[in-house]
Amino acid sequence: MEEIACTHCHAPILAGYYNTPDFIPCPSCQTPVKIDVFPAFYHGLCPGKEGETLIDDQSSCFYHPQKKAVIPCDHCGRFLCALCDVELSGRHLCPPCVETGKKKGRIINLDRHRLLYDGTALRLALLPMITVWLTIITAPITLYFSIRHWNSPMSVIRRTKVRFILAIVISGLQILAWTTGIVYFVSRR
Amino acid sequence: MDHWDRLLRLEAVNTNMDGMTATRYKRLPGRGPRRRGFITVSFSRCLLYMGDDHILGVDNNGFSEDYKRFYFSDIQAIITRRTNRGATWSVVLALMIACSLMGALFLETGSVRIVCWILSGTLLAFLLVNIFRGPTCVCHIMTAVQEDELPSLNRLRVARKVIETLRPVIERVQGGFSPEEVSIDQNEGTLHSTRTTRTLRQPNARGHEIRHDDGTIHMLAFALILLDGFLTGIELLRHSAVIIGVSFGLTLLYSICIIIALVKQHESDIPGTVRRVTWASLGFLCVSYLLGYVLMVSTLMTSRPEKMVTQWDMYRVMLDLSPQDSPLVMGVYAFAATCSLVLGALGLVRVKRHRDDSASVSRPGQDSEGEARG
Repeated sequence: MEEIACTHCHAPILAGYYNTPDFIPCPSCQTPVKIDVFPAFYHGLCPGKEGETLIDDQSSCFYHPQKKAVIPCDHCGRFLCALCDVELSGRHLCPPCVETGKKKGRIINLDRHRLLYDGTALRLALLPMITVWLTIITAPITLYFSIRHWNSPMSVIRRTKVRFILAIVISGLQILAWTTGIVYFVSRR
Repeated sequence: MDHWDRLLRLEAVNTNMDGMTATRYKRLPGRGPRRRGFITVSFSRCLLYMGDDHILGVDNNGFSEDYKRFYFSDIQAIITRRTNRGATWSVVLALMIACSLMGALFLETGSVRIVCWILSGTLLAFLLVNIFRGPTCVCHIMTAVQEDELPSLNRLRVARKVIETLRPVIERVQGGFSPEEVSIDQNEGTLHSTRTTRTLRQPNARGHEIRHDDGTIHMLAFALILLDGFLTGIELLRHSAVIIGVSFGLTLLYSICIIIALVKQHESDIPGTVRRVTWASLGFLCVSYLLGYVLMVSTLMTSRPEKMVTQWDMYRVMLDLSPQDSPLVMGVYAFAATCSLVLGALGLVRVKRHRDDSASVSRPGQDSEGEARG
């Protein structure tokens, strides 16, 4: 079992100070701290699975022929030993499927970064309005950007297409306003 | 824009592994920027979401999102530490309101007075929001291999609420505490033994050593502040250009001392009260510079421009400025004298106590060393 350190002075705090109802001063720096400990703190890390050795006519792992297969991959169907079985959100996958899924951004739980195309499109439509004249360039770009990324993966958190729709409407209005203005000035001459 | 999302029901489809259902996230209260120091200009907004089997930390900068997942089965502890950030901001805002109110009440130019009133109102709104949000804190989440800050839990009330929400969920996944684990807690509480080996996970691989500092530079800074307070007090009663000149010199000196003290107290054993008084002194210094600037501008605006030909003429006008000249100058001098005396005296007392404590701790060691030599 490891010790928990004060997040201010990094001095170790004894287990007697855990799960107290209120804040307690750190024994070292006297900063009020509250440590909520959960059972995993005492359990430690679980040892990794090795996979059983194959006996007689048992099915073998696709990647380790000498190991006994315990489960098929939920994506490609290949037989996997305990070592190759990667459990993700209740599904059992083989390492290559996990790798492919991660590369293509198809496993949401492995995504660490996402570009927010909808938010970018909306900002691109709104911010240049401060200068007005800049919208003549940004409005077509916004329109193209919104349509181009309409089906691109969005935030992991549930978001809607409202920002895209607003960006398209605003940039459409900007283009309309510029076209009307240009036509008006040309016709006056 | 979330209400629009709910109103229009235009849900986006996240591409996902075939057949794998997307995790539904529930938003947890709190939001805050990721700080990397005392003052941070950060455009990233951190939020926390609860998934089926994990907590999702989202850092959103408007154009992209970064995610961190903490699985319920891996979470070992949540460490909450109270901070003084909220209180410090309240003091700073109150001082700024006081300054702008002084400007609004005593300045003669109508447009500047209106600006001062608007500024006071805005700052008051900020102060009220800060007070309403309650005390501040810093939360860290700990797993077997990492310790990470949760910037969204920066207010105590929110942190408590979130921990209370998460506790049953985490305990349901991890199972309850066994009687042995509970007895470990109780025994460790009574032992109070110091441990020599530390197998700690370091947040962001930062190694920290607490070094000893006897607070000499703090003592010097507080002594100078106290002296400056006395001189300003004398100036209140009897105007003298020499005293003002010496006071300027002292202010410059203790400004340097405070900056050195702030650098030296970092990761040292200087007590929290001394640290706070040092930070408060820096705050006071900033406010006094600001007030000095306001005084200078108002004096130059009111005095005759034909008198001031060179830079020295401006300084002479400032040196001739007496507290008896106007209520604004009197107010500024009284404020400066009070703050200097309080901060200086408090700081000196606290540093003296720290030095005494350090001496009493080191003495037994020295005695035993002396005995061994004997």
